[in-house]
Amino acid sequence: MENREILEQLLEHYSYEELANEERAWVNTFSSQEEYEALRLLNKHLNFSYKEKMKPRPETWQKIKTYQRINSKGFRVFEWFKWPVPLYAHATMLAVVGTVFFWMGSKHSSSTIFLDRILTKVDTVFVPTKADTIFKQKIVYIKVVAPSNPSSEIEPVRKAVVSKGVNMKDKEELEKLLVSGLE
Amino acid sequence: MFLRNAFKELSDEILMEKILEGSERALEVIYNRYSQPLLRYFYRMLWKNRELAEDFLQDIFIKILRVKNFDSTRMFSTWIYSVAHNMCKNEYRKQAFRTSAKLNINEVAQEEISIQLDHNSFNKIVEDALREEDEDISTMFVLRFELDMEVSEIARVLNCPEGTIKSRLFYLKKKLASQLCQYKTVLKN
Repeated sequence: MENREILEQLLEHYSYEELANEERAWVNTFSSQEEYEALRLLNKHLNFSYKEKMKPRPETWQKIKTYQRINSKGFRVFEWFKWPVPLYAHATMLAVVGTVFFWMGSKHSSSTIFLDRILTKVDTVFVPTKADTIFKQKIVYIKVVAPSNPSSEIEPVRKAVVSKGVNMKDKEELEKLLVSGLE
Repeated sequence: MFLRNAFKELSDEILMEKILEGSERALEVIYNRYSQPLLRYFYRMLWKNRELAEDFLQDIFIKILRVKNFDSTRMFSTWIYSVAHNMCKNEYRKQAFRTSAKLNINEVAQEEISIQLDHNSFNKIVEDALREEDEDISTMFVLRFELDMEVSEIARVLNCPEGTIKSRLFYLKKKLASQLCQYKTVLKN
């Protein structure tokens, strides 16, 4: 240990009066009693009453804050994005956003609206029946496509029925054939 | 409130990174941590001129905001006090104050120091003695006794060996003590 460090330890713990005779003799080789006591008082003063008790003025912080705002426009928006978010929060957010978009998408995915309405229209259609059945009247419900524009005419979905290609004439001939068994 | 508390727990270095990204909260936390000690440092180093100290405090935080890259492996506190030290050095050079100030020290001291010293007079002696010293010694003294900084950190701020700092501080204290004796003062507790 250096002499300086030994002296500092003595200064910290003992007044000159409290020093042992050999310690006093040792101290006197470096300094006088007066200087030793002055050093002790100086240490005490520096440790307890030297420090300034002052706070910065509020204007200083305001100026710094203004400078930051002026020099980093729009940073507030990005600050939120840069804040670390846990993985589960990301997953929850994605699930919520996904559900909302799916719901909205399914609601508006098609401009075609199916309407369940009855139209009275006389037409020739193929109705598969037993050979000996006679209908006086048969109501056939078919789905029609209503276009998004309500003013336009509603066209019945006929294609599937018509495309079968069997008319009444063929049907009668077929029945005759089946009943008579003649060609 | 939640965000503010979260920022308060972050280290200086991480806060500095966030400041570079434009975070106002991070700047506020750093300001709350360092504004007071830095103001005291500037006040001590700049001839107890409060206005100048406030200006320097503002300047150092603007310097922080202007930083493009910060090496987060380096301690923020060491870096900021190095910047503060250099700012003071530049100010000394700019104003060439010290030469003229030195001439007045002894006159002022002899006029003002009476037989009995109170704490203010004691401070005056210390301040005057510091003005006579080299800038680095004054900085060491203020960092150690005003800001309670560890000798190891002072060594990093001033880029100087710890042993040198210890011995220089002791030398200065001894000088102050002998100066007090020289004036034959009766010191009050």
